[in-house]
Amino acid sequence: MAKHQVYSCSDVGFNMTPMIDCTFQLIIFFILASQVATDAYASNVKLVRPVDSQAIPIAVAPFPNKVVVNVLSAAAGEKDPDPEMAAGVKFYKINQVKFNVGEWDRMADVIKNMRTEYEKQYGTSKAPSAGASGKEGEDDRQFFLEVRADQRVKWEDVAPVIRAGVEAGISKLNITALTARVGESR
Amino acid sequence: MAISAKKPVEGDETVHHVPPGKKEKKGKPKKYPQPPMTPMIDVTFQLLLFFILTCEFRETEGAIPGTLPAKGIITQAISDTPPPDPIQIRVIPSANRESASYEMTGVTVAIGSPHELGLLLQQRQEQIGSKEVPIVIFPNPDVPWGFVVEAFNQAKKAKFLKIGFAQQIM
Repeated sequence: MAKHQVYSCSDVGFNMTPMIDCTFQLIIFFILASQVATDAYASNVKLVRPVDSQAIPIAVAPFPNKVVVNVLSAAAGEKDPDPEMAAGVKFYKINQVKFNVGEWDRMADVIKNMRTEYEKQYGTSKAPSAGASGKEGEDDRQFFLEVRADQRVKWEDVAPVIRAGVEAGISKLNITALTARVGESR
Repeated sequence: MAISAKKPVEGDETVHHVPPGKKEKKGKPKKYPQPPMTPMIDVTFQLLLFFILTCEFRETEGAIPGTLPAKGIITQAISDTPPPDPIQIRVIPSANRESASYEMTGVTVAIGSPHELGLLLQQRQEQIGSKEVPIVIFPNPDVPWGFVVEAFNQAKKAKFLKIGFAQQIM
């Protein structure tokens, strides 16, 4: 006859060690993979991933030598946006400053002020042609304009941003796009 | 010399040394002091919950570098050779703006895809043998920005160095 062993309550317990191990692994993953959101990069911007994207990965962090102009579609945050509405612009955003359509002079002034502040702190920009090739290590200090526009908005609403950059005396332009997927040729 | 009288383990025939005076007492098992784990596990779970709830996976962003024309400066050709004629790319949206076609100087038919445009630009660059030929992109005012970036990206892929945007359509 089989002998049944009787356990008291104090004998029964969970083995917590593997669970804690897994928890710590997850925490380490999240801490390493997380990026702190910055004001410079607005959310709800649907970026384009061009065919064979030539976009060079950048760290999503506020660098002092650039001004990021976010162009948000009127459909930003909408689940089923109307294509006509999506083509319009909700507002433009530089850090926390918002601009409505038509406020180009104000935008150019803000860009110009940022450039002046940067040059006061770090010295004047280098030659306008420098850094055009985007090669690594080439003229990292030059102040530049980064256009981060929703792919659905019309060209006629993005062109004034570029013009505002020219008005502000900026000679380098970066266009934000998604990088090529792993395995896709560059 | 005392010899250990530890719990016999099957297959373990090692004789363990136990110094005199350290002999284990029979009866109650010895309790070792442990740091309190509960608060640490509590905090750990709080952190884990925070990260799981707040995390949002984003695709990697990048930047396609370019230049802007200098304000108010009219460039003059210093060399004897005249500047090369620019290659013009027009970006024309479809009626519903879901797609766009491209027209390029020297190509009589409309180009339907960015990939095709890239190939033609590469061919042109090889024919000319120079990366200095300016590329001017003429987007239609109501063309979505995504298609303009596609054209810029393909010109960049074809290794052209001077890529610019026209302010008005031809």
